[in-house]
Amino acid sequence: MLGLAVLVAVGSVVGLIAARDDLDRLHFLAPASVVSPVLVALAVVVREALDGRAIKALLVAAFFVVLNPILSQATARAQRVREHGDWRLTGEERR
Amino acid sequence: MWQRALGPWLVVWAACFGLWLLLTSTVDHTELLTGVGAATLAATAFEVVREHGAPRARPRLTWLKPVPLLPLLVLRDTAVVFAELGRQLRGGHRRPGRLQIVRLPELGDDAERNAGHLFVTIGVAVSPNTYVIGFEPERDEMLVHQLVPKRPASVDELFSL
Amino acid sequence: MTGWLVAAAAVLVLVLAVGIVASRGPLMRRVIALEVGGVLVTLALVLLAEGFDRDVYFDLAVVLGAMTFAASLVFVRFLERWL
Repeated sequence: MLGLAVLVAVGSVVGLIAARDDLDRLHFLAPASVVSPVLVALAVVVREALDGRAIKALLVAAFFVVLNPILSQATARAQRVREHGDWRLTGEERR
Repeated sequence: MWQRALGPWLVVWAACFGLWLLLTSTVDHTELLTGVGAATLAATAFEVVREHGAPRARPRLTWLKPVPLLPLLVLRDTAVVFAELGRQLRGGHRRPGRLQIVRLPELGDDAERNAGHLFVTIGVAVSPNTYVIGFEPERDEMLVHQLVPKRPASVDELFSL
Repeated sequence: MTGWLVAAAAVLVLVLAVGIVASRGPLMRRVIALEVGGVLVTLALVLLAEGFDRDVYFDLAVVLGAMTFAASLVFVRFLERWL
């Protein structure tokens, strides 16, 4: 599980570097924020059972799972507003 | 007015105190007293912000129906996203991601709409291939970005395997 | 050296790479790199906590997880509206 978590994190960083533009780049925030923390938390639970440490690890994973989507939305909006003045689709983009 | 605030205050207080107990994992006297104080502060701050115009949210329990599917969607989309990355790294043609408009279901008043938007934002963007950019309530639409475009017609399609 | 510490070391190497991305290039790319970096540092703390058998690092990770999100959100709001 740890190995898989690290592999997913590696993939996210490679995607961060290699992505074509910022909106594409944001997609690679999700595996590092959702998959890796959950795998690490599960590894801690397997090792420690449900004690204080495992609960804290699960809490960290829960934070990222719930909050990462909100952060992605805010970042994508900021990027669109800076580039186009408004996050909504332009007339040209709608066509 | 304070009677109306008491119910939510107690709920938030209980949640904060429960979180404190989970984090400290002890029933030591001093820790419990500190937890009571911290939960009181947090609940009061929450209620003050809520009373001063924070957006209301009223979720529906039926919105939790897709939750059991989410782990599978996350796994599937992680594979899709990394497969696309692998393809581009091997010299494949760089396909750009795409902005898509997705129709939203009918939601009730502002409180229900706020809760609905939050649920959809979290539920959709937990999986890596899609995230939400914004909502247009006047048109009942939301704007999403997909790395590997799939042209979803509705929110239900985003939550289906 | 346990598996936990090896994993933590690997994640810290990734933090270095992300740090390089966060220090050069277009602004939004650096912001996204910063967000990824925050997540990876929190992950590294959890791995180190388990590897070194230290409870207090878990508390650090919980606080850092929450603070990373709050800080990134504030920064991104500034970028959208005022900077």
